[in-house]
Amino acid sequence: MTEQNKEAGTQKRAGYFCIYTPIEVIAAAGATPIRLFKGGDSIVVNSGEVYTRSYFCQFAQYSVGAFREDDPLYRSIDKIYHFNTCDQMKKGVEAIGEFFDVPYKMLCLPRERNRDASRQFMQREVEFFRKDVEELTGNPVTDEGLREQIRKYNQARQWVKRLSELRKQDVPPLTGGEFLDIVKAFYYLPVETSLKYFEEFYSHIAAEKASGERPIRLMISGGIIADGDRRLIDLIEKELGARIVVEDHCTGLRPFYYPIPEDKPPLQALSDGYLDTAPCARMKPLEERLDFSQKLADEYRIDAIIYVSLKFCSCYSISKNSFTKRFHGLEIPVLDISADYSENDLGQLRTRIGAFFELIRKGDSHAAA
Amino acid sequence: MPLHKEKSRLDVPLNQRDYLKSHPKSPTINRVFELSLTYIQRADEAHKRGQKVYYGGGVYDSPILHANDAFPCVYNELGRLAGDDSVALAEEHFQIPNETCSMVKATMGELLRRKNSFKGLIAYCSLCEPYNTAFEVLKEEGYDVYSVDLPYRAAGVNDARFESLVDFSEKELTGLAEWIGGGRVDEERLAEEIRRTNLIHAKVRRLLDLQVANPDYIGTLETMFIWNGANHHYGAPEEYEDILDQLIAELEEVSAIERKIDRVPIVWCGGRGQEFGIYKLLDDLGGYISKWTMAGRLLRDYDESLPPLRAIAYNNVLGMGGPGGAKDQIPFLEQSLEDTKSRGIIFYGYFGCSFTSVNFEVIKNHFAHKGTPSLVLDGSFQIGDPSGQNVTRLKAFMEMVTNG
Repeated sequence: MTEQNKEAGTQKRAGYFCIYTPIEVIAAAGATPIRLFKGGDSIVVNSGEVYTRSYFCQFAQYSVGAFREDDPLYRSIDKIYHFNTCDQMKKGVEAIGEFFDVPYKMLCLPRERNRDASRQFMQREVEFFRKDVEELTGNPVTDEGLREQIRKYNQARQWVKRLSELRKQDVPPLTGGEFLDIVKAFYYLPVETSLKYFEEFYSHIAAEKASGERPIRLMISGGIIADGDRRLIDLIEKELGARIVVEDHCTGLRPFYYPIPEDKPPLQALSDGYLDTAPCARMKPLEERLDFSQKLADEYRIDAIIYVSLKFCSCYSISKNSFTKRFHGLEIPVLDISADYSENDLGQLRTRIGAFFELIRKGDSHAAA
Repeated sequence: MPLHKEKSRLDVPLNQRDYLKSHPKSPTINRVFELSLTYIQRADEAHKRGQKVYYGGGVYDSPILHANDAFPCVYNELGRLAGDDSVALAEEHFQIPNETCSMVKATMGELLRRKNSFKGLIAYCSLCEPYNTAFEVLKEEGYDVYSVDLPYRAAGVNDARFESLVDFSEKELTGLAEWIGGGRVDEERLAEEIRRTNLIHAKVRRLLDLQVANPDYIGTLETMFIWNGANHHYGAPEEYEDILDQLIAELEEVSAIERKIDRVPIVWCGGRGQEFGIYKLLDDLGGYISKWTMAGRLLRDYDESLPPLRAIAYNNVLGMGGPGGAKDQIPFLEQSLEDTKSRGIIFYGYFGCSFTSVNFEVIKNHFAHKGTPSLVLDGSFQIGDPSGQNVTRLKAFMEMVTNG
């Protein structure tokens, strides 16, 4: 069925923005899940602002603007599924549905992830999601089909995690920018294709012996780094010579860290698995998110953290003080950057990050430029 | 003579307390103001006496708190105290970026000042993202916070899925009731509180109808103060109910005399601003609010045939808990415009508030196609003068709708 649909060009495409969408359900229905996470272009942002407000984060504005600007990838989507994460994205999706006639389904994602009531509710929401995807595609989503997709996506997540772990070496064979390309492959390619690609790439890169001086090892933490928003990463790695060895954000390593359980009934596995994924700052309790950030920092033996939050992103901007306090307590320097997609602050960023690196080289653990 | 022609309240000093106390007409209105202005102070005193004081949303938690002999206090009334200094305090202490919604910053600043004046904080999730994170940060500061997760009722949610949302909400509210009640829920007492709230709702609705028929007798800001207390009763249910009875009697007397209303009716959609000057200005410009959409949600009766927490959960999902898709508000607004022959809609939200923003755009777009004028105002939470921009825009809007 899926192959026939592909040939006929009728395979449905389901778009999603946030990583809490159980894409296994979409794939099990023979549809293609596509994460919509482009960003970085201020012209598209301005276009989206017409329907949001100036105080929406620029990722949300971009997401709306991409539909207004007829981005071919976004416009190829048959339906958007949105497990309600932050309020701005929720409202952004409603704006897309209202102003651009894009069908969408809003689903709930409980915040208090450890409560029994949340678990039961999430499972019911995944069940409603499954029914909707079946209606969209006309294909049944069977338990067996879900199990198969859970296995495949877990394998893909495992490969991404293994590729990331190569960066634990003193001189990582992979840059942060290259790792984000791997992540892009996960979100844009069919899982079968990406599995093949990851395996080949891993064998190639793991065989390489990286040499040279140990660079400053950085963790990037905070909100989304969109596909297309590379200026900060390029500045850090290409211009200033440091290396991003791990990402504690939703377009980096974070969503790949924990697999979906394979030993539970599939709907329960998906609802539990997605609630148990390494948490976004929107989830509660906040302390668990900080614990996870600390775990990554330990594992990847980082020297410092650059905390990036998009302006007007309440989840990451309001919690950044808690984050900074936690890491200063651990004597790990943190540089806080409030970012957007404009180009005019590049010089300022260059100065601040350059000064931050200098302080790190001098061994100042409380550095914050 | 209509109040706006009798004396321009633009002459009254822009201090909320003085402004409120200067109201000349209804002696009972002064009792409402007094109740509101002393609300936080009475909460502090209750705390000192050993009564359990909780800050919450002041709607669905109120019957639960009353049923536990606790004192319900509300975040939005903290705005009555908050000024720029509260905002600055929150920005400095919590390092909150200045672009964050003023309501959240003002509340956090005030809560920081009053750390030892209450027992706990009730945090509702889903409605507002900055608050969700703010309460997590407050937890880290040692505040006793209980989070109540609220499901989002998107447009078109009905039948089995709607019931699923209610089930979840009921479980969350049960958790809250147990937290407040020390592990137990007195259903009988709660049912009693729900019955009382329904009676009060009916009185507030009656009063709003009478006020709309007599907008010169009770002004806009005064009206907001009245219905603001419909659920939390400013912590004094008996006093609040007595005030409602007296006001109804006053207005019924006034209604007996036929008068011509030469004010322009406007429907108000969105939040209740603390920058009281907006309401004052609306009155001075010869307008009045014919319908408050939020009041419609907040005055929904509880279904007394259901177990009390289930009844609260229903209202929660239908009302503020899950504000629903913007489209859900359109029929109510259409009906309001038709019933009151209103000339336009004012949308009011706080700068930085995402959950009202797209809703406003969607609704505004709908009514623009029908030729209904509307105005979106971005206000601020803490008390004070409205911004010059809002004043100018409101003046221009009123001129437009008044002159057709």
